[in-house]
Amino acid sequence: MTTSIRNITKHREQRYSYGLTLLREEMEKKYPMPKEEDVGKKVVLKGEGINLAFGGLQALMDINFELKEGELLAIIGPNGAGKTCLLNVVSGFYRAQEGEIYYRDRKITHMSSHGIAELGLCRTFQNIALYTGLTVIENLMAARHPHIKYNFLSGMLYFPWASDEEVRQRAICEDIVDFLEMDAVRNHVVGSLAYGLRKRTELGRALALEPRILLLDEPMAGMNRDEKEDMARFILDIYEFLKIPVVLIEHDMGVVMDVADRIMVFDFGKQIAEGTPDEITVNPKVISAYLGTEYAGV
Amino acid sequence: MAIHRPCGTFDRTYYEAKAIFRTRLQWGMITALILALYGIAFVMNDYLLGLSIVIFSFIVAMLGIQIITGYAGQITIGHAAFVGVGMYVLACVEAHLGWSWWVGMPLAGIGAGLISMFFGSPSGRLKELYLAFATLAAHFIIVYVISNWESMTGGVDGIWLSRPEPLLGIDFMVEHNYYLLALTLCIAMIYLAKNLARTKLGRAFVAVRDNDIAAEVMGINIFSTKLLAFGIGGFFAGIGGAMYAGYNEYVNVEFFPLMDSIWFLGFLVVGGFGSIFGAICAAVLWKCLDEMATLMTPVFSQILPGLAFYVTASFSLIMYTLIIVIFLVLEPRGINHRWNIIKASYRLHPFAY
Repeated sequence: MTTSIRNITKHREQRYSYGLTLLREEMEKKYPMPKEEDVGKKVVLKGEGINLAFGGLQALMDINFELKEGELLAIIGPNGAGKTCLLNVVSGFYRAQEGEIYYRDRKITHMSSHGIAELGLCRTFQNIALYTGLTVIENLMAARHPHIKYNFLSGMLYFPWASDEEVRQRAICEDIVDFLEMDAVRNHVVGSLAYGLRKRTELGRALALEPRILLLDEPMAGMNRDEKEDMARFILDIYEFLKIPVVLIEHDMGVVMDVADRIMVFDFGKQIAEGTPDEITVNPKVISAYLGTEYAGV
Repeated sequence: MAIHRPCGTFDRTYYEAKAIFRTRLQWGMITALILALYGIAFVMNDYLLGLSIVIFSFIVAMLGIQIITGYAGQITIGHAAFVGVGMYVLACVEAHLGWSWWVGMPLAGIGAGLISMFFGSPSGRLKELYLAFATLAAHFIIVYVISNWESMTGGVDGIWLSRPEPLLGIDFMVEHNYYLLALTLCIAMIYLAKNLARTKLGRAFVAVRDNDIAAEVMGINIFSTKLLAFGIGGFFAGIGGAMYAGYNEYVNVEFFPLMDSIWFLGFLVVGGFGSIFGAICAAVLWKCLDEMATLMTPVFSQILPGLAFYVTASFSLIMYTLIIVIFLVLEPRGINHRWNIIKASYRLHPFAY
């Protein structure tokens, strides 16, 4: 089969687009982009007095937080401080004993996990939780599940509209694959990919779900310097292209101090500090949590 | 499931990228295969036709358990009972309502699907081995109900029913016409299963199988997805049962013993989890082995005159278990995986990779 240049140019629009254009168009169809004056002011996600205990272990103690429009909030803290627990409570995976969570003035405390995901709170996992039997592109397509319009019967009979919808969704997923620079491995089974690429696929899967708030749980854990830089670039690009607030849990202080607008510090389930990176670096409570009390006074 | 394409085959559109058959050669081969399957109906004798019809109905039923266990990852040891529900729904519709096979067949699918969903509902709470035991109960309950609800099912005597009414002047009492009907239905069901696997719901099934927690957090309602898997798998089982019962013109509770449920699962391992091709291979292999065991009986009575009865009784069991054990040890991903390796090595021929 010969491939003529004319054929390639004919299908060009369908094949290429850069910078998450298709995803952004798709998202703009459903809700308007955040207004300029709201950025940094309007609260999109709010937690009030969250208490979470596993038996006698108090994992979260009276946590209050606010995430504002267009903000990159980093959550840091020593191991076991309750950072991931908070994310699990927000995404409905754990149920807090006390406290409420509001998403754009809507109470989501008792919503099901998939309902919360459909609202646009998309997350990645600390321990990679991909669908290992599917290829990269199928993983992203699986995350498009709530946004695919046809029902399963028209899928089974493969009606023309189901076929067209598949292609439309595929284009959006390919857009994300291009953005994450994973074109070469798009048809590889995820189980056979390297660690860094799997982490990237996780990010892509969260993107495919059309995030209105992106919750990233240690996206850079276990990566080398180059991979961390790539990942930081992707996070900042997403933040730029989609104008969505991002919650970032991360242990690498260099990255956190560079990218975050605001930082929240946890220790033993308590929120010990909150502020801009400059405030956090000199906060005595944070220093004592990380380095010990003898350094806090210096 | 990495895509193996012959050298020089490029996808220019996403329509091409997601096609089942991509090249003209593939189209030619599948068309030739289907035409050959239709063609041999007119040269096979009644015995081979009967065997083929049984194979076709078991392929459809095997696709059902492939959807439930292979794709959605919900182990079920009640699949033969769901096939049985299909048989009995068809039989009852024909015997009590006097409706024809053509109405009874889809009803058998729907009935078996609903029963399957009911017995699959513990999957909301149970996983893996525990779910396997919950569905094992389905088998006992269904067989108990069928054997004791005599006014409806005729108890252990079974029910007589009739072949499909003639359609467009084709008389299905003739063996090769029924073969053609079963083949057409089987191809249609394979196409449906294939489409299911490559569209929205199929991906959701695999998501639930591979990582149910992530699937839930990624916007998939896992309980309804699992129920749908049971429903659709049961539907396939019911259609398979209706094809089988229509051919035999008789149903009985002994058509779907407990061991069949276990063989369904065992041969799924041989065929390979999570592939349509694997399910087809599994059903063909199972029924061919079954037939081989029957054909071996006179041979055994020649070689071991005194022991023939015992050997025959245990021969198929030994064969099945041996095949399953060999596959578990040497190729745990089944025939499908081996076939993919063969295809890949053919494509790359002079080189190793």
